[in-house]
Amino acid sequence: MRILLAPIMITPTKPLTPSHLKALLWLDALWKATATLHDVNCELNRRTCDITLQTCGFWAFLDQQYPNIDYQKENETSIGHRYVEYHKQSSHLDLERVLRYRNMTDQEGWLHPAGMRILQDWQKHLNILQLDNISRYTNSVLPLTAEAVINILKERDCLLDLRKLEAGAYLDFTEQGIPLRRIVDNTAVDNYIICVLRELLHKAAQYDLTLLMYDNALDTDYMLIEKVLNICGAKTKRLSLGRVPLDGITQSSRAGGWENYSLENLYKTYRAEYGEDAVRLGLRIYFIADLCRNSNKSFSFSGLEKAYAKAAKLLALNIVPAPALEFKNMLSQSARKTGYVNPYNIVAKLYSKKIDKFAGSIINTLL
Amino acid sequence: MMINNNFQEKLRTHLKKRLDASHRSVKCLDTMPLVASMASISEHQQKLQTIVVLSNFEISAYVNNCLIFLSKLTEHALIDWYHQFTTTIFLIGNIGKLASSVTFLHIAEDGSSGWCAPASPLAWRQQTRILKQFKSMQTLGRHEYSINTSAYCDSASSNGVSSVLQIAVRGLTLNQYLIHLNHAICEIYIMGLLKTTTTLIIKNVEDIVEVTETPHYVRVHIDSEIPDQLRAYALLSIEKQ
Repeated sequence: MRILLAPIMITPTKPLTPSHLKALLWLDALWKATATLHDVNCELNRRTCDITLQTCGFWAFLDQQYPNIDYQKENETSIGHRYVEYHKQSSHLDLERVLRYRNMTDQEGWLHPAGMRILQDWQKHLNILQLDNISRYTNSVLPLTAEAVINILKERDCLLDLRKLEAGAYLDFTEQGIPLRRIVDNTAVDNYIICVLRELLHKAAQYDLTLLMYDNALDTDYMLIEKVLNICGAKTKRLSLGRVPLDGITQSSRAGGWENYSLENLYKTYRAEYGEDAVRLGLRIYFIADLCRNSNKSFSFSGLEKAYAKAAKLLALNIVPAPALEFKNMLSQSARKTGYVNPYNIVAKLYSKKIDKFAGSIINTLL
Repeated sequence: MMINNNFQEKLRTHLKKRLDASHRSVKCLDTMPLVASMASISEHQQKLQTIVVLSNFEISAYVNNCLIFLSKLTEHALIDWYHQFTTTIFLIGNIGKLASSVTFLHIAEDGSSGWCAPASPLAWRQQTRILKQFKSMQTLGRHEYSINTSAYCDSASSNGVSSVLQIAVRGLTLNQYLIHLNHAICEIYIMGLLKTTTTLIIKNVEDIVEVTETPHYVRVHIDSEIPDQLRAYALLSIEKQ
């Protein structure tokens, strides 16, 4: 079975927050565990998110407001603060500049120096946390143009096209009682849904299963994306993850509030105390088994530290892995209904008081 | 634009006449600022709403379909429409996909528009949930459209009589234009002003700068660019060819 993992990409505009880390750890664990059963590919083309207005708009804002910054002297946090500022006053943006940046990114893979700087910081985190697969993102030309996607949607009778009246274009599944969703605005600019479809529309049908992974705030949009992929012949499943509340508040990183929760704060001071591997495993235990897929539990440093302690204890036991075939059978059982291994099902086994017979194999798979 | 107080006064008189014809209390027009008084009046006139679903828009086709739709309404419904200033909500949608959720009274032959009979605003909750309001920033230029209205004409002696409906388009977006056009077409039909003409010419002009004491029909509303002023948005004159 050939499986394509299609996670929504994170725009390089702010520091990675606990919500982002959760998404990355889930993807990594799912990828590694499912790959023991099936042929798994992951679509990690940065360009789908780099060309969004959210990203290019921010870059245009930076050059308008702060034209002389040396971004090598900046870091993800300082750039992230400007991102929060941008969202507070983006109404005065020079649209022509935004679209010029967008075009350069779309055609040539251009990245603003601020974006490059942030990716450097992320790369450092991903290496430390052994998220190597995920760090090997690509920056490739999208297989389809926006116009090609629109034509396919028209052919499949799921597009309401009022562009010639300057009234946008919409995904249309109203016959199923689903509200219209705008995908091209009144000024003929397409949104992120088109970007995702440009990447996946042809590719997804080449796999036996495409798993769409995204933040649960985008559930409605991804339900529509899935419908489009399905009518174009792809078999799909969706896996949405809840954001991690910070201090009891669940919000997008554009609103700020992440200052005390940088990734570095989450692992730096603990590496000396618990060791590199315990931190790597502890983060997986905490973000996958403790915070679960959709928990409302706020991020807590004490919870994280407990997971580090648990991980250190497990690693100290040097648990012998189960026979490969038995482990594979267990994973197959877990993937029976969905086609992929749900990371929670395996990582939760590390959480129990009694040492699970597959604990050693699970640890080896995750790290 | 220069403000002409006499013209403003004239427009105010026409607006009052229109409100009087609908038995609206118009005292507030003399006592409150214009925007507030119009808001106060419209608050009391939300008893009937209708929806038009569009998947395309072309002026002649729109007017033709609007007239066919009106001709399908009962006399009673037309009187109610006029008295209650029935609001039309312009939604976008694919008519072919809405058969099970919307009951249209009239659907354009090419499927570009669908029209529902007026009802309480509550009747349209489902439609307004799944469809979107028509919003277009497109602007319109000066142009004329000729529409054959002989199907609505009563008298054979009216052959060769045409009516000209001027619409002031300066500063209007397409969806603002649509509101004025739709109101004007509905009202001149209900007032029976098409019964004596065989051709309706829609004439998009920059501004309507003159209105006679007794025009056949004039649509006056708050000027969207100068909210404390009135503006004539539509004016009908009937002329022998």
